[in-house]
Amino acid sequence: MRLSIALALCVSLVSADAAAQLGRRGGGTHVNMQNRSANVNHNFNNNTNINRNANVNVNRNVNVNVNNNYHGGGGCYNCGGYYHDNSWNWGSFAAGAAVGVATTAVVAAATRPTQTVVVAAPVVGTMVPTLPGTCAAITTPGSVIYNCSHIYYRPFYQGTSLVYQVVTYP
Amino acid sequence: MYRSRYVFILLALFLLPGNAPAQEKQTKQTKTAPTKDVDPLALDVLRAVALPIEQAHSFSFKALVSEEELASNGQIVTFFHSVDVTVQRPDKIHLIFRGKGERVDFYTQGGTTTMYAPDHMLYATIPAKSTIDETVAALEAKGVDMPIGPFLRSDLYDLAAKAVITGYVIGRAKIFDQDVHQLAFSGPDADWQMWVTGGDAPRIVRVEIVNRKLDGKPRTIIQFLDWDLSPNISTDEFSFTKPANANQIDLLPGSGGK
Repeated sequence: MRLSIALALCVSLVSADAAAQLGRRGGGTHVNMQNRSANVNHNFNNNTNINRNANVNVNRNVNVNVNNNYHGGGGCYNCGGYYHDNSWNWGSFAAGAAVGVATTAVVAAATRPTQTVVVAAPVVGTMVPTLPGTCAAITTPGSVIYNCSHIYYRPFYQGTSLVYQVVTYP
Repeated sequence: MYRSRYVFILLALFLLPGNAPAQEKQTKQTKTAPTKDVDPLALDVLRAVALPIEQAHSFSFKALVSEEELASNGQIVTFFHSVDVTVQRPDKIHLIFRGKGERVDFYTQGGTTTMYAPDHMLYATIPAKSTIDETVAALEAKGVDMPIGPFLRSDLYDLAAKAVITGYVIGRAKIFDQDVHQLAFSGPDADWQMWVTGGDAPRIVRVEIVNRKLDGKPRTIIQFLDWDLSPNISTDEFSFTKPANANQIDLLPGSGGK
């Protein structure tokens, strides 16, 4: 059965290509390999239906600006999942030199303890995909939380991922 | 950040009824019933790659998945994960997700799905169903977004083909030097392309899905590797054995986490 399907597929695909090149397959509009883009666009546009399906969630926004991504002390670096650090100067992305300078500056600040940096604890409720640095597990009744320099994280599964939520000490 | 849970049903979108949300503006174009135009060969090819998967007692593959989402500034951002898949019908699943965060394994058998992160030995359990199809649907209902979900089901062809509005064989193509055949389908809410190998064991190589219903028309791309429809499966492949010091945690409702 499988072999016959495979052979049929092989034969039919070969003949399909040949037919497509000739642009003569019967049975309505078909993709013409000589001018296939135009035909494909034509067909897709004719059949667009954008007003269906109440299940679609149009508000699946990613909050790029919510997370503060440098938290000193017990916080996290890039913990929110997105870089949003003005020092990186993403706005100058096209100017490679400018981006490079900004990057160096940030790295230097992160590695020199005496450098003045903005330190802020992550807000309770913040979700992060990984724990920052070394943390101590604290087993609580029925679960566990992590003490990361006195910032506490409770793990959860969310979708297919493990996430950590900043919580107050229980 | 928020993850849409319905990426999984991008193929299933084709099966949904065409009710228009009242708040959405209708255009003259959308009031017209779409014209069905399906090349039978496109469905034949789809069937040829779907049936071996549907009929396999067990199979494995690896998927490299990229998912686009719309950021609050209107920009499309892309998330990546890989998943190693091993399944045994009717009800056993082992998935290994590697994404932005830590590795997470899914073990499903005997009416239970266990999610387990081996790095921190954290697990959660949720009830599973008696078939893979039902379990995948149940996970999706809980917000577990699995774009590879439809490809585990025993009704992959029907799921994909039932509501196809247009389907074409684009022709021969190459993906990174691999010879493939390219198909293009559209449905009420999504356009999708599929690239498959030919020969005596046709396999899905790549799927790209554009969800036209969402702002920005985000894409989900799945690259398939290492199909094996008769894998050697160890006896404990689908079993989760709880380590003595593992901790149980909760599954948050809703989608997200990427």
